[in-house]
Amino acid sequence: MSSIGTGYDLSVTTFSPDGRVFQIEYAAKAVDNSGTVIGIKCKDGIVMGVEKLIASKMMLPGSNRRIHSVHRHSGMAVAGLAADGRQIVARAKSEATNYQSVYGEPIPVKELAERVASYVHLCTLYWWLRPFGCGIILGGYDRDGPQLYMVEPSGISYRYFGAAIGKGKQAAKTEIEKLKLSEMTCREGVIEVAKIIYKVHDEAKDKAFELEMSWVCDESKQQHQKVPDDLLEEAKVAARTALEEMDAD
Amino acid sequence: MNFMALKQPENSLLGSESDSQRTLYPYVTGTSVAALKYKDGILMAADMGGSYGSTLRYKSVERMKPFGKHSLLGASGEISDFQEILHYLDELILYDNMWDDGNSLGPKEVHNYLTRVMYNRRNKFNPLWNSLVLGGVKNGNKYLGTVSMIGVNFEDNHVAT
Repeated sequence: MSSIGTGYDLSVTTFSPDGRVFQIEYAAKAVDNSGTVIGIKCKDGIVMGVEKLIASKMMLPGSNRRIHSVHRHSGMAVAGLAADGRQIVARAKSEATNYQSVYGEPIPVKELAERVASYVHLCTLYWWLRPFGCGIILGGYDRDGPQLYMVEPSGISYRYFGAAIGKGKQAAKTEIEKLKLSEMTCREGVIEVAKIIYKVHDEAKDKAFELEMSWVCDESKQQHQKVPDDLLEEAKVAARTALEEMDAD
Repeated sequence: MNFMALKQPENSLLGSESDSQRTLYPYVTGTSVAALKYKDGILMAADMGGSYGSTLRYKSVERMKPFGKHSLLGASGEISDFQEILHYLDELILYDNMWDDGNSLGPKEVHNYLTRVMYNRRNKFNPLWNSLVLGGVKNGNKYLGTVSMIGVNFEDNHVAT
């Protein structure tokens, strides 16, 4: 699947003869090398989960948050270069508070997704900036109900029922497609997301990982927050059991 | 309300009133707010009037608002400046929530923040024309404080403006 750009890949302001911008594609590769990030839209809200690959046993669990709240009603999960992700989150927070300040209501999720995508795209237009090396899954709950968006390093943003980025995205997408999302509540969704992340985690290549999950749903009063500890534990247990049953076959 | 216009002596350094961009005097005002600590927490009281000079023009003005998880803010003085302060505080609380780390700003922290805001505005000769009463309970600890429009602040068991 990889191709060599030879000469047309030195700058993000150069097209190749077949109409590709190689720098953006390389940025997407950075995302593909990161831990899996999943988002699903359930009946009553959004659930997002991140497979945080642990680089060292010395790291404190719960540190290095990959899912950030952007406003009360929405959050972003980041895959790829973490430092780039922080920049984007900071910008999204700024856009959200600015919108609230000017228009007096929380920023609609569609508007937020457009602004984030526009910012990411901005950094693909100038030779003195490099594209962001991260993919973002944005979930929020506004007047039009729960919505899920994904933003790629190219600046493309689409709305999804279920999205996955990172190492295990192909396998994760297959699993998500099996789920009946329109009939699922977020509580059930949390369990399913945990199961998928445990399933697509590659035991051989990456040793340990920490599961981080967040939701925004009716149960959380349409506020974006970390999944409560007891539910998270329940999800982890269910995921490990499902994995053992699979291995037993 | 021209009868409230500032009469300046000839050698005044304040400059012409019509050129000024800063707050000169309040228009719609609230009267006193009183608060006290009791065994189980804080009690704060204020009336619901917004006066335009000597006329009681607005009769359902809420001069006390809860915000965040732990605090209550009451204000006397210019109502529009109070609304501006609430706007600042909303943003402050929002940023605090976004950390999502189990911690939240308590009344003492907010009191300090407001003191800095009021004092800095006073130093620019553009005060927020309010006397604020800030009370709350966090982790069982009761807190009651006040800030004036020139930035004087203190904490006590009972305060009033």
